[in-house]
Amino acid sequence: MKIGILVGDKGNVDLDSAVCMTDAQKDTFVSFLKELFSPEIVIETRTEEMRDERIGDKFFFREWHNEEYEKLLEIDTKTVEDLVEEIGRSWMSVNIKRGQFIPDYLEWISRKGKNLMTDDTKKLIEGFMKYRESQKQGKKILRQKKKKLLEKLEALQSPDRRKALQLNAIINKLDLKELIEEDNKKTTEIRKMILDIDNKLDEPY
Amino acid sequence: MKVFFSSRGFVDFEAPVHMSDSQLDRFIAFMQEMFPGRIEVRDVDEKTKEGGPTESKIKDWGLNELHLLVGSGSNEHIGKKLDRTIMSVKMKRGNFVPSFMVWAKRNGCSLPPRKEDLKRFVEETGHYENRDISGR
Repeated sequence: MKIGILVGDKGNVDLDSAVCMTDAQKDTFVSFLKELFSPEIVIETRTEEMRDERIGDKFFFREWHNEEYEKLLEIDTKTVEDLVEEIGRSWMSVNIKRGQFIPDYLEWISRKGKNLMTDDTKKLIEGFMKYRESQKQGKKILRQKKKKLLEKLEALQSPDRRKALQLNAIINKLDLKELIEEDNKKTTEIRKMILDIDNKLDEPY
Repeated sequence: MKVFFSSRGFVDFEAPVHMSDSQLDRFIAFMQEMFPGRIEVRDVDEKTKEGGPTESKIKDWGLNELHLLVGSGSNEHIGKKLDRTIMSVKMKRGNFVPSFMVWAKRNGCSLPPRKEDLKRFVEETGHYENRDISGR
């Protein structure tokens, strides 16, 4: 059975379908790719669902992995041209991604009092990637917090809440105006907390 | 890049992979050796992302602008300051900054870079030939 190698007019290459290989062939294939590209970025992944679409059927978006981000960050030793061959992406996609990443990296370096020219590149990248990961986790926690605050806000603003306050005022002989005022204060506080969270979520990694 | 493999022995790329001419030649040669007589190479027109019409003018980058790019300001901040789109800042930064950093490290320059270093880089590498680097 024929195996098609599809060569796109924009420099991308694909197989015309998944290829049946023995384990030994698969290992040789992966080893070859690790010589053709940077070995760290070639990742074997087990899946039972192979794609049907091939190059030319649609526009493909390939997710960026941490190993590739680490390559992007070698800004003092690798040009865009170097990376195109190392990570198997087009010049444009590497260039744009780098342009997105570089400000955050430079800002982190500056904030930490590090020096791109003299500090160990590998350690700088490791440090930044750890920081980025912790920011990601931090944002996940913030989103969960925001969800709980929104639930509290909804409860405070529901019609049932007003009825509960009225009942409370009657039963406990309290001033309804004061109870409403207290609720309004809580609402304002929660809204402010949500706004703070939104601002933090908007910050880049 | 992920290389998918299944329990039934199928192997595939996660998505099409960009290769230079020399990489493609090596890949084809490898596959022909691994699967003799079975390889067919075919040319394909790729689908690309639809970009809308643009009336943007190409503005040259002056020295002061390049100096901002190698700093730590955000793309949004620099875009506003220089009246440029964020995309244009990203694209310029993605290419210019690493090229400059590689040169700077090789030439023992310190950070933050001086404008004199930037000017030297541009003159030496011809990175921006016929561009005004007078300090606009």
